[in-house]
Amino acid sequence: MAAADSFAALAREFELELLHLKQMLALLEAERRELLTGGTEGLDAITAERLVQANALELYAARRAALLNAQGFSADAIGLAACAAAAGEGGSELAASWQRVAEAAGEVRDLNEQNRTLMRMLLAAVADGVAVP
Amino acid sequence: MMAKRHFAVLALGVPERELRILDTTFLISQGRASAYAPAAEPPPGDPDIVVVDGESDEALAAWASSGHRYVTPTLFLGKQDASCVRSAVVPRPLQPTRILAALDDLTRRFGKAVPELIRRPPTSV
Repeated sequence: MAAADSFAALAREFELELLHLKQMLALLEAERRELLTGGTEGLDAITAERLVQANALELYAARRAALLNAQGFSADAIGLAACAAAAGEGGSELAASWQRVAEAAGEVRDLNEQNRTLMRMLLAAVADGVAVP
Repeated sequence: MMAKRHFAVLALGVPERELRILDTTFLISQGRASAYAPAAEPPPGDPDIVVVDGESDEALAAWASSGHRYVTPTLFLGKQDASCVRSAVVPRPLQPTRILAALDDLTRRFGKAVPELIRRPPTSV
């Protein structure tokens, strides 16, 4: 694959990855609402869809790594910066796309951790209740 | 003897992402005839059920050496150890309602659960 094609392919991957990250954010927000309101009816469907999105995100991360490695770059932020620098005119757009992906991924991690903490607090309360004879 | 309604579940070698699915399962189970919650740790108390990643050699080794193998009903994730009689399996991808059904199946067969269908609301005297 020519270098220009690889850069274009990488840019397309970023767009798709961002879509999945936004979907994941929406799911995590829905999950948070359920947890905060004590509702559990929607949790099963949210969890199933979250797993689908997590699998898709893993796939995109692997494809991104493969595209970068094929161009001789490492599959991390340093490799991406080097790739953007080598992309010529399209480099700034590539870097901006990656920045959007990285920010969305950070939001997903934060919200995921918040929900996990919330879930553990709720379960700790349940466990305390169970321990009472 | 009154049938048991709350069951402590110990997860052995379950990947972090799937622990999250287990937590969701426990939350969904609250308020049902049979409710499940994570076993206290450390140290783990005396769990009613053990959940093991049936596709992980490390998890299976931890389970085999834990002393639960012949004692505690076991729910395998992904793949069942056929040598374990008191067990059930949930195929991947995991889903809370499927896990819940399997936990109910284990408690019905090997525990002292209140059968979901015959549980009645308390009546005034």
